[in-house]
Amino acid sequence: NMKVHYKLTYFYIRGRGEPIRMLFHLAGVQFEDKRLQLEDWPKLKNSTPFGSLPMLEFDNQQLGQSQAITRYLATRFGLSGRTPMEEAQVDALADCIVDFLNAIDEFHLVAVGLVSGSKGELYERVFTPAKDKLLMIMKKQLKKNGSGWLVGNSITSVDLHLGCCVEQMMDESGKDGGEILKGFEEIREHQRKVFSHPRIVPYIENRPYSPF
Amino acid sequence: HSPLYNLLYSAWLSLVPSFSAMPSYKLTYFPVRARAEVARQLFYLAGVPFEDVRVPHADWPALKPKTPFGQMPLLEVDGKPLPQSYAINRYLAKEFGFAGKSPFEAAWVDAIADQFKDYNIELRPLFLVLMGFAQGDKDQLLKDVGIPARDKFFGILEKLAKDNGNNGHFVGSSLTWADLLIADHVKTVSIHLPSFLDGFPTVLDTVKKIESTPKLKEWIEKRPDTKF
Repeated sequence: NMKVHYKLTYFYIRGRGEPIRMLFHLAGVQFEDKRLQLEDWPKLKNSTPFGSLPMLEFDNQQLGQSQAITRYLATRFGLSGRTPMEEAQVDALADCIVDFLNAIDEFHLVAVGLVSGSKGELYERVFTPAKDKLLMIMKKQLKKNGSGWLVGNSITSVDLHLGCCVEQMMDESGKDGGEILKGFEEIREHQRKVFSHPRIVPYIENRPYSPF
Repeated sequence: HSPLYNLLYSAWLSLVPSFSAMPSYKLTYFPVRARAEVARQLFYLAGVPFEDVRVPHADWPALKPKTPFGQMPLLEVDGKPLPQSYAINRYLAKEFGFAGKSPFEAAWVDAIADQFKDYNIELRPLFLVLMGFAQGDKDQLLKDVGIPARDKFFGILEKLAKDNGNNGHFVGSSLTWADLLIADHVKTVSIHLPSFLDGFPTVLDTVKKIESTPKLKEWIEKRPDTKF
């Protein structure tokens, strides 16, 4: 295999970049983990494909959009599902997570301090129904699949995605797993499984701290 | 069955290998284009038969709990369900050859589709009012929401089309599901906001070229006519 130099650029937070970072670590593939301070963003913005991050660069090429990046790398690394239908199931579940993140945007902006508002009210009205809808889908899938992973018999990119999402839910809401995952024991077990993977543990122990 | 029957039947099957190997496809959605149209077009472009199930709104509540995610569109491949429109589009595009000619091209197709998804989310408040699903000030929403979202996304598309040599595709040199996604949206926009995209001539030219693909042109002429 040709040695490709990958560079992933994202902000100095976990957010939409964290599942991609974990994917590199899970695959044991080296990459430049570029973390941008917010004040350095305006300079870079116009030289990105879509004026947004994360962005992947390699072989003088650029790729934007977190899901496109995840899918491209996971396919290269054999972590995207083992058949076309499994790949499609991984995509479908990942799109549900994206739908959830979009649905809670109003809550998210207040929770991370970008916009002022009533976090408590948004937690009840916006966050909780969207969270319950997503976790119900994931719980159903885990039970149906039966292997402890979301799709197939081994870990895929969407397992990382859900694990990071659950962590983000707790950080942004300020509530612990007891409240967020009440009634979703399968999800608690799944997150534990992802975060105790031998290649993920050292990454989590050494990654820079960020509040979300 | 007699051994002779079995022999004749296997001989017949061996003459039509594609017939026995082809999965059965069923696509279920509301009676509109929206999130199922690209999948329908992919089937038609590939010449692959599928059951095009259109569920009246009144029948949806009874069907909803029977679907994996409580949502449509839903594809069934030999009875195995697959939800989420982009997962469906990508799965069919990969099977039928409309996903780009290399992994990197396929990734760019995905990236454009996701950027389009983001744009749609920004546009949603205006879209809901235009389609009659919500009340609101159309002109205010156009100014506050529609025009900024349009300029951001279609600015990207205009540059992509130009950089691609105005060859009739947004990525690469062959028809992809991203082309179909954009072209269908432009069709809907042209119905509700006629001059909205006049500032993006290369995009409009690309869409014209996409729509003139022979099998697609045929489908557009025969499909049920819907506002969106």
